[in-house]
Amino acid sequence: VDGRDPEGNQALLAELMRLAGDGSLHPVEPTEYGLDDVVGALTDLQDRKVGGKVVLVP
Amino acid sequence: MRSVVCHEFAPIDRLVLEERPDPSPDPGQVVVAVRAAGVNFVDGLFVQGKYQIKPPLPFTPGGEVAGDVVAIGDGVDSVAVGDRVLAMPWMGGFASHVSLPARSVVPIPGGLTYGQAAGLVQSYGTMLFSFTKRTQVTRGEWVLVLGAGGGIGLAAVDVATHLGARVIAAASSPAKLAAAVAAGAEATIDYEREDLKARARELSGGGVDVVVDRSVIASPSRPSAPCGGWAATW
Repeated sequence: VDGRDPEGNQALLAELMRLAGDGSLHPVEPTEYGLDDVVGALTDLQDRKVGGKVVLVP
Repeated sequence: MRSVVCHEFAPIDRLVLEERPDPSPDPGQVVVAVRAAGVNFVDGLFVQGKYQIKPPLPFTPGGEVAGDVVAIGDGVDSVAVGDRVLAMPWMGGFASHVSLPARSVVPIPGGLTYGQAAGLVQSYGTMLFSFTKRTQVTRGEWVLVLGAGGGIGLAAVDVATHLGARVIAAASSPAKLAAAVAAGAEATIDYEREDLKARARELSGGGVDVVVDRSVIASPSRPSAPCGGWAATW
């Protein structure tokens, strides 16, 4: 999963959305940080203070 | 628009939030108002210059965005203003808006939140790629997931179970193992208290087909598989 294969990446994203959308996969709700708290989000990840997924919400 | 900017490779707290003009889409591009941007451990390495790839400075980190299309450029007919979309822009995601090629975005299904969509990319994307492109996990095979209680581990359990594999979850505490069972694992090994190898062999009746470690997938039963039986997951 990187920038070297845009078509492959898009196909993978589409497959992920299909499987999550039809209930085959079960993603959890992530922990949210504000965009202005990017330092807190990255620091907590680095220090393993937050588990699971982390997202910034602008 | 607001944008997180890395001006120098330095400690994380040197990142700054800047106000910039809103982007307008070039031909073939769409502008997405970001509702959730996935944050990963690697983003912290990028901004500190600790990753093997160093982006040209200054740059805005953020490789996973979910949001709403708010403008489309000339020639774009695959996407419309108002669409909920997910994309993997590689950089630029830690911002209120990002401009992207229209062909790089995919629609987000109705039942999924922006946060769930953005949060799927690294963990689930990595595991789906690994289980289908780097090795082939098939129905009835035994998959041993190490570190099964973490984000990547739980995604591995979920994806392997979806593919019909029988999953053995290994982790260091009963709470982590319980989470893995909830995600679909059939059997568990607490490697603080049990012998990992012996138990895996016993549970699978002779040996597992695929092992998911933190950074590689090994396929003991397929030594001639692509990548020589080992598949790097990222």
